[in-house]
Amino acid sequence: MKKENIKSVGRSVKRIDAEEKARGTSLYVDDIKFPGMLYAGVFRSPIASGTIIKLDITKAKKVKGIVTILTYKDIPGKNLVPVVFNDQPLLVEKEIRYVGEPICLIAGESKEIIKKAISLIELTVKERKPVLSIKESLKSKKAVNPEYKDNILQYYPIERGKVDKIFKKAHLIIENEYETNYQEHAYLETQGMVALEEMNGIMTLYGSMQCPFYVQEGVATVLGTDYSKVSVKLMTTGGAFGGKEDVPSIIGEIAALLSKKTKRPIKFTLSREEDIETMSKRHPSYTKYRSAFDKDGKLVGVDIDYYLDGGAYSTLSPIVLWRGVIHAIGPYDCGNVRINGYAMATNKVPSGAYRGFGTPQIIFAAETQMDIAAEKLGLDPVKIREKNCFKKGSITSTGQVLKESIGILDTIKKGKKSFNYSERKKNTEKFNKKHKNLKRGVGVASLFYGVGLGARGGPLQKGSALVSLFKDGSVQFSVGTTEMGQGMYTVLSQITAESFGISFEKVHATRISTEKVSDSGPTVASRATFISGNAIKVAVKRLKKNLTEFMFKEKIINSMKNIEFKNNNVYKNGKKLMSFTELAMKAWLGRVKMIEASWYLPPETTYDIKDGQGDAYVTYSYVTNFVEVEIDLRTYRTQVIDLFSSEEFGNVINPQLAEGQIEGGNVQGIGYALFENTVLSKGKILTNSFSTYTIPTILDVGELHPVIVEKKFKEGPFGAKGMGEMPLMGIAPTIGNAIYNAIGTRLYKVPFTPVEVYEEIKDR
Amino acid sequence: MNIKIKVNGQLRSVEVEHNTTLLQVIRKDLNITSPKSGCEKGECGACTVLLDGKPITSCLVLAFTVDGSEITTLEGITPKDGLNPIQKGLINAGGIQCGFCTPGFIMSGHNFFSKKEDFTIDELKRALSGNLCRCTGYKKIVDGMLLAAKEMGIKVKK
Repeated sequence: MKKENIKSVGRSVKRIDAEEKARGTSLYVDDIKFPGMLYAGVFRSPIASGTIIKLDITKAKKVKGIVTILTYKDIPGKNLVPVVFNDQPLLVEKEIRYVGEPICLIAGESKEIIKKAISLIELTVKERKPVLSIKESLKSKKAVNPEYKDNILQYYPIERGKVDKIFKKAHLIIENEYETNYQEHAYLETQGMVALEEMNGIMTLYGSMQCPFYVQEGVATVLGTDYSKVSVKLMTTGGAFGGKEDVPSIIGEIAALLSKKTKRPIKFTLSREEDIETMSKRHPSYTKYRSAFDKDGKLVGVDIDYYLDGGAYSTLSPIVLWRGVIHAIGPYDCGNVRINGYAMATNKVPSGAYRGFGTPQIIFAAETQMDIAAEKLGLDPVKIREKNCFKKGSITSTGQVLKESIGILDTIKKGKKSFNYSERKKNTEKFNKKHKNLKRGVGVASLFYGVGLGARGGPLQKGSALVSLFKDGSVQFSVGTTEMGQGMYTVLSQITAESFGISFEKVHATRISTEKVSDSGPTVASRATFISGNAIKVAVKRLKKNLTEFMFKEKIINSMKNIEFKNNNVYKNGKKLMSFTELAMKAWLGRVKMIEASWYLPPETTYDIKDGQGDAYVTYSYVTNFVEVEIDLRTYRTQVIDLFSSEEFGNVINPQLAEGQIEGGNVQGIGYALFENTVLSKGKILTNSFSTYTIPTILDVGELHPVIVEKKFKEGPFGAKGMGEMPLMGIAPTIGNAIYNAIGTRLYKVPFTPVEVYEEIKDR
Repeated sequence: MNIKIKVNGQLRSVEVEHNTTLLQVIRKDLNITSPKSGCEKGECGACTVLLDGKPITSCLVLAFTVDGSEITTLEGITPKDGLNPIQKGLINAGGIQCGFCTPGFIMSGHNFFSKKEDFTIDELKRALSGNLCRCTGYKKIVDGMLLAAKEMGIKVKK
């Protein structure tokens, strides 16, 4: 007989949604229609800062096919986009704070008709001089947003040890300034939502998003209605990367307001230009970074001023900044740390969440500093990281003692070996002697990442699942986190199957909706596997208990001990009792409870906002990247040759999906490092298309080599931590360090476009 | 004005304006939704279809200019039962994540392989370089195309 192996976890099972996506039959929000559906559009501010003197919509209203035009006065509830501090109105009332800020909402029979109406809206404004950069924001006496006393939207300090003292006696001090530009999510599917009142007057939204519960809150807020009168349902989502965390609330609010007013279904999708100009993006940053080392190359002190450009409203900046501050010194134990982190207000579109969430900017600075230190101390860049990186018992900059699943040293060692570091370094030197115009170099950078929302996640740190067993022995589940392309449906199906000991094919994931589970927070912070996986485990455990109690009651078993669910069967003391399918049918006949809604709370985290001390995150994942690049000295263009991303994120649920996350994140990191450059004029984003904002194509990425290190994390579902964001986070410094290795030019500004490389070489 | 086009083998008659794009006709009038709208500027390749056998970005083609032509979308090259080799290849290699770019990649890949007995990986990448993907990093898309080539008996040249 063929040996049964129905193990699900640890296997590269195929994505449950792969076939429908390959056939092109998956429905994204723009693929659905409802009878009588109208389209939506927005009249937006053409200026960055000013006051509305007069708004005239009479001509626009007369356009044939325009059904309604709304201003802030027509909002039945609060004019608000709720996020953290609740300082952002949905529609401008009087004061304009960024280019593209919404002023009027329009519903019409077609997008073309709406465009015509928008061109007929007359706006008279009194312009003010806008604040357009971090430096201007620091200097400006007048606050961008009068709800704040100055332009600091948020401030976080970390103070640990004796920083001033250590800098006085340090063997080596390195002090530099770093800057990074915006990064655009460039999800292939732009933002979109369809809103309609379905039966019983429930305002229902179908959309592309990372947090249906945020959208529910936003819609209830602007409609002035009960949360329970709003349902939010997930469509197949065409990429998100943080860009669909908070801003889908804006999309949903607009669609719902127009649907409520017109009593017709509304589809609101953004054009690429509108999406780039008006949706969130990675914060630009400015950092002053001082590092102190002893003569052996030990990092002994760090003193950092970290500034993020938050844009006109705080949105997610308070949390983005926090994560940046916590990760500012990298995966190193250093007793003397001072960090001052600021999110600054400017008259620009609000920055927000993007894969890495405030850390890629500061990791760029930290890991460039580490490379400079290695050179000055005559140490190999890999050695200095091995020497300083976390080991068991190490203490983070927030004073957290690390106890288990600390894979940083393993990622360095395994990565170095896979990359063939020493040999490769010698080969690049040989290559460079041979070639006049082509120069190659190798670079390394390490990082760590707190999994989940952490202490600043507050009430959102929870997971909810609904698991339902059917009488044929098949299982259906739903959770509160979303599928946006990363493969969550598949990974959670694996966890569900493994928890029941049944075949993966017997488990089916259903559409994510606010109607099925309770608010589980957003699908961010690499948390879906951990939080929803654990919630599913809780539900399955209860269902198995219901089944076991039933068997005891029916005298199928004489005690409830040593019951095992595996191989599609149920066992007692290692002896098969019956198949899982048989048990499910018996349980159904016996009226056993076959559905469980579960709740999972992660272990407690702590954080003192005054000195930044505490156990910030439940656990951390680790990465070390190795790259070889080639620079053409005729064009100053950098090409990645080989990138080895060595990553530890607990145990792996699905190796192929994990590799997919690593490769995809790596390439977004390559784009961040080399190509993706946002250009603005008077606060207006000029690079609003893929021909001006260039993301990597298939020809730009070099060879990718994911290297996976496993280190079990006990609290994780089947030992897993989280990993979605890390592959992007450290690519910029890895490439920057490799460019230095190749041509001896140090880069302090991301992205390293040919112009930027030329500027640095020219000034040398 | 009225145009007649053959879409996936079926003759269709559609009323269009002077500025209606082929993508709008396919998605809105014909309710064929595999070609996606990612940029409306011919930059992302998500709307790739075959026009008289040649791959084009349908968002850049004005509908009235293709009167009398033959259009093939992903629906037209997908078997009723089972999957074509490229679809299978992408699924098995893990070359699909969010799936929004997938139909475009399959059309470009289909066109590339339809004329080839052998190919180099560089030629394959060039044929796919008009299609953007933000999720996968492209590696597993290439792997999927190579699996497809193997199934179709098309050889990789060194």
